[in-house]
Amino acid sequence: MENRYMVTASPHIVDRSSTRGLMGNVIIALLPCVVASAWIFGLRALLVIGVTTAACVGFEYLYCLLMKKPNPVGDLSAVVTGIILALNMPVSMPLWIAIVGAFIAIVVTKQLFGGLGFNFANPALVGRIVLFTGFASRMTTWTFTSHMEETLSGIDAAASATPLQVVDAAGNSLLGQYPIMDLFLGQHGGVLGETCALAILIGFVWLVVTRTISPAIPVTYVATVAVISALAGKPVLAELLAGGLLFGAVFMATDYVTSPFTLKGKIVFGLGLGIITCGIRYWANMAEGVSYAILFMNLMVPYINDLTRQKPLGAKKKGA
Amino acid sequence: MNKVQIFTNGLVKENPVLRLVLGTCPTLAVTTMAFNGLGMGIAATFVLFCSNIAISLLRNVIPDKVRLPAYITVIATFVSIVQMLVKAYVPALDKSLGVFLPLIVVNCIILGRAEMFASKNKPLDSALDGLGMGLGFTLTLVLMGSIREILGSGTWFGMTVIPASIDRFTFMTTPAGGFFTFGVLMALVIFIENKTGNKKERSIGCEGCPSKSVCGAKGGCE
Amino acid sequence: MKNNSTWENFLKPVVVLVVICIVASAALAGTNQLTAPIIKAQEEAAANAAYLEVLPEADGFEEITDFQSSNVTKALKATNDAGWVIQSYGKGFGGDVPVVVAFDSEGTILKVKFMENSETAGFGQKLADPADADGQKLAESFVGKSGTLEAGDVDIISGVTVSSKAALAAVNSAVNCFNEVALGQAAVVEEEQLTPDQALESMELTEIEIPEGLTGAWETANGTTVLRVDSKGYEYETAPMDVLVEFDADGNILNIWVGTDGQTAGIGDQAGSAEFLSQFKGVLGEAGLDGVDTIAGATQSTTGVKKGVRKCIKAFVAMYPDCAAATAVAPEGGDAESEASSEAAVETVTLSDEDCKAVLPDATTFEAVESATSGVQAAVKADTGWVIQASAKGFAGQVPVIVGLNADGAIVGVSFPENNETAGYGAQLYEEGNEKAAALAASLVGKSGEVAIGDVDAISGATISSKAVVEAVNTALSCYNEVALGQAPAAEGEGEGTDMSAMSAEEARAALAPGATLTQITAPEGLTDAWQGDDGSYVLYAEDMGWEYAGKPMTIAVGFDPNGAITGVWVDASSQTPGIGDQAAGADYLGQYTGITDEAGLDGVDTIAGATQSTRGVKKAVRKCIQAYAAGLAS
Repeated sequence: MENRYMVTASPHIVDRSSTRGLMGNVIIALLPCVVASAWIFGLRALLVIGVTTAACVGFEYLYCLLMKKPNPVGDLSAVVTGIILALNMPVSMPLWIAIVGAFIAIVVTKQLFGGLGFNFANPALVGRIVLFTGFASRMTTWTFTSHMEETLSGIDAAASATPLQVVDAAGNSLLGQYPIMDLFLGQHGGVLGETCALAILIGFVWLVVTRTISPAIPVTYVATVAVISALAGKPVLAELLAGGLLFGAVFMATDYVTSPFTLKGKIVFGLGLGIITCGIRYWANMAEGVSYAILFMNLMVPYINDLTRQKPLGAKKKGA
Repeated sequence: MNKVQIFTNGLVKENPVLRLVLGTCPTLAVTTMAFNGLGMGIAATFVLFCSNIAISLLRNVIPDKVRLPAYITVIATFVSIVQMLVKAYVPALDKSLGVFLPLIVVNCIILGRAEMFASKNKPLDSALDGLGMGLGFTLTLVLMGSIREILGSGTWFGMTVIPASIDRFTFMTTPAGGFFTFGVLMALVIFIENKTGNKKERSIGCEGCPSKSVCGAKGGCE
Repeated sequence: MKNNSTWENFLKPVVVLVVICIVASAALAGTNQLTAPIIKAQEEAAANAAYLEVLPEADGFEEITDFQSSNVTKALKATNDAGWVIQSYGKGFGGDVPVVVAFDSEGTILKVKFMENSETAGFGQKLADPADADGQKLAESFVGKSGTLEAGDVDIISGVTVSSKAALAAVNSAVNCFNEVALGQAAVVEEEQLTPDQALESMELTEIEIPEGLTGAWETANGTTVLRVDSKGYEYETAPMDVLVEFDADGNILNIWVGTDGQTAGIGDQAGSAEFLSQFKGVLGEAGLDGVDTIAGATQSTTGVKKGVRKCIKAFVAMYPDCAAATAVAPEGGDAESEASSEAAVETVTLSDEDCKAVLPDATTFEAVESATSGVQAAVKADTGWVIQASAKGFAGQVPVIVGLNADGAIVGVSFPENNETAGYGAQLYEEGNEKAAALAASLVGKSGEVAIGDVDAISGATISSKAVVEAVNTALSCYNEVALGQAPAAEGEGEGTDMSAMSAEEARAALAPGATLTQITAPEGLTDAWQGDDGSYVLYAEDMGWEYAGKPMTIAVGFDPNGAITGVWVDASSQTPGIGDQAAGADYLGQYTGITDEAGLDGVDTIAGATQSTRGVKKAVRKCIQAYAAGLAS
């Protein structure tokens, strides 16, 4: 009898995580944000989230059916994309535009490139950016609760918008005058998911505790933004809590497919994100730097991976 | 190839923009509106037609060494003539095409066809080829322009076709939308070709390939 | 063979190319001959189209080239005497703002068209966009006017001030040119504004010892003294402004030059404009500076220039202690006048019969009357009552209100003419059918005497504009007292104290205890400083942080007369947010404190919404002073 051992490729010890399980944890982590958005903006928020998610799942199913590929819907990644994309829209978004966004995110960004694992950038992010360029006025129509109106009139905003866009008559940012608690609890205008910092933090804690993501990217990202803000003389806490920074850092920058593998890579990724976000916010004309920063760094990931490759155990250094 | 085939070559099978991937710059730039695409296409067709004839007539006279400067001079002359005529008689088009009208000089389609066809064929054939290519170019421009204009501004040749109450997908009139439309159209044309079995024989030579020494293929890869 | 290859390799290519080029050139030249005239005609037609658009009655133009007026590109007279068309430009935000103005033969503006400019898209570009409502409104507001126009005469687009003002300047240049070529008046030629360096080059100078704090000092051949100083303007700018002042032997300011390179283009560099700087000429001594107005919207830069000039004056006085400048007093009535004029000028208007009927429906006869109450724009006596238009300072400018009063002085109707308040907020006042404006107007009906903000339905979110409406209504009611009841007119400055914000600490102290000689005493606990006057008056100083993110606290000085009533409050709010917190040092706000005798009186003092922390801080400091006064100093 021949003793032939079949040697398969590593890894030989696997844990029980599956894509479905990981995605399930992300969905759980997103639930506080969903609840918060409904509380702050009303029940229509749930409608938007529901429709977008259904559209994402539907498009993925239909595409794979038409292209005769195995059905991937069970891995819940489309659901996650749907929720994140929805949380990037304002509550007043017409539903048909949300469906267009779902199409762009799932079919164009993900499936056309090869499905899960082959997308070059976070699908929800690309969906958001395309909607932002394509339907700019819809994406930037904010609605306010009366509490928000009071806060805004207290600041005598010249043209009300998200806190990052509030300026006085001379064009100076009034962000520093925003009550911090309002920013923290999300009592201000904005898209569904970005306003309530508390909900995002709860989700972050869940993700870290269940070891779904490594805290490296969010922490490095937020820390870099804090440091640069302080150096630029802006009100640090307000800058951190306003805009899509926290949401982007926790849920969008940490997407597995489009972020680096190694810890070093993740740190470089977070640093790059922070620098670009601050660059766009302070020295360019846009209030939002997060989306484009994440997109840009997504494109850089292959290079980051190359440069921060881990040395395999036992390997000799080149040339040694 | 008979005369008809030469002419129809440029429409789909060897569509200069979507298959030969020539002249993409003005394609992306002027197709924000269908009218601009049409105007640019017609202007380019005229230049292509004239320069193909001229170069074909001169093909035995122009020495090989100086063929490129010669071609460019001829093409530039025709473009300048077209520009002056357009400025005088259709100033609206001149305004909307702007700098892209004089840029027809470096439109790769014209130089490409001069090099690929007109310098090797008789004037009549070259004229037909020029017409066919130009027509293919124009059709592509109008098609792309229509898609981008309808989706991006809700109008077609200036007439509103999508009711104003529906938001315009302004993304389509941005450069990103242009590239996207371009890609989709290219994919479509290749899909049609695959289906109709008209797969174009394409061959990239071995000269520039790094795997030359190890590759077993003879005569280039597809 | 050899010949062949020489021919083939060298000659033939050259010959062929040359021939091709010749043929090409010929073809081009031919086409050009054919098309050039057509193209030229088209360009002229396009240019003329613009001129004909503004003056359609003209059948052709002849160009007048002999004129001196500055900033004019073309002056055209219609060949059929239908009028004139003048193309001019003004300096805008990013470049020139060109305009074409059509005049009739007398000089009344028929139409204004803004040409393409390179201003900021969405702002100055609105002017040239025919589809833009604001741009059209501004263009239309010129029609029918004549003579040199002011910013208040036309509809400046809110948020596009610099470009709008440039357009205004352009129209004024056109007016000047018209006056010159059509009416034969002298040309107005704008003097080139020199930079300090250029000015220095043009003078013969001998250097003298540079006093402390200045950057340069010279004597000129004419016997005048030239001093130079750096002055910080806009707080976020990297470079200070360069201020150069020329004094005569008495200390009168002869000339001033300012270099504004570091200031915000279009805004801060107004501090270098001839208009602003001309105020300094003839100023004698520090007291003379009180008459100099800063430019709203360029406050920091223009205040910076003023501070720089003050330093120069001080240095001059230190160098020549016997000069006239050292003992100069404020020009006659300078304070009150400049106070009134630095508040946005309230211009008079004429109320049409329709305007009056809108607020006083039963009236049939209307007769305009004069009123000396400040803030009143028009007063009309009707057979059933009175119609008065008054205005007060709102968020972005004056907010006018037309009030209809019955014979007893009770309000029967209120209407809001156009204002420059923020769209969606104060601008709702003059929006047709706007419910909130209607509610505010309705809540005013029936009131008389004096109205408080709590008595009416203010527009939520438009607090400042609503308060301005109430203030304007009260002004109208005071006017009623004057014209109907014959009471003495209320001048705005009364009872509110003079504007002390531009005063230095010592001057403010003197103003707070007028007529008394003050000596410093030990400050009571909780206060930072205290002075006692020989007549029993006091000036007490306290500090408060004000806005929580301010760098340093505000200094507040409260003056008490011998009876213990507050004479006035002076605040140094330089650490507060400019434009917001420094309202805490404004005369409007501080005037509320005058006359208060005890803490209870503070309850009537309103803080300013939007500047809550700063104004509350002042209130707290005043309270401290009152408590300290009551505790120990009251006799």
